Amino acid sequence: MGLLRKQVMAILGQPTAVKGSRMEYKQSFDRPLTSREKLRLKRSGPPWDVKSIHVMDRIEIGLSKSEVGSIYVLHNETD
Amino acid sequence: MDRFNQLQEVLTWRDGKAMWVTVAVLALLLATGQQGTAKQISMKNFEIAGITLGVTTNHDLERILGPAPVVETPDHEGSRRCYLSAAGDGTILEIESWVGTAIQFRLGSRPDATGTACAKSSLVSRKLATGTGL
Repeated sequence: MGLLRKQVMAILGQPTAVKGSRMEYKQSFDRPLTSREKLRLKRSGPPWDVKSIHVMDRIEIGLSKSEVGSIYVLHNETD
Repeated sequence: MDRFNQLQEVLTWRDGKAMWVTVAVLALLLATGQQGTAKQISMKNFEIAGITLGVTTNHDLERILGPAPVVETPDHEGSRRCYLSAAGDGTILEIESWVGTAIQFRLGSRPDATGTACAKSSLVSRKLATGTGL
């Protein structure tokens, strides 16, 4: 909170999108299951054909008077 | 005249070649530039006030920040908790969980916040930042 746009970009890099006074960063990818996740899925029963975990990340920075006024962060993983 | 036409053909070919070389160099520069500024979102961005998205359970959340009124979001098996700065600077931290684990947070401020729907926490203030310093 209170950072300037250039300071945000020094931390997060180039935004995925800029909508007015909002900077958006998004990424999504699939990652392989960890051994712990494989065990948990096996114990929880079918379906056992889960091969990967889908990761969805999102950060929205709201600027107010050229400073960061709000931060929204999402990190969700689904199998 | 034939010689003039030949020269003209050579110059056109050279111009065309030069144009393609220029286009290729510009494309390379653009691609390099984008790679240089686009970053992968670091896991440190998912950390705030001792909470880590995708890791911290609701139980741990309340152990760290204290108990708070829970707003159920039954449409996606979620719940939301709100924390207000105990220092009175109007900073609000809202954390939403899905199937018992924190997955998103929103940090902002509301100068007129009274705290009726939020629990007060000494960990929440304008100085609060994510693991990367945002």
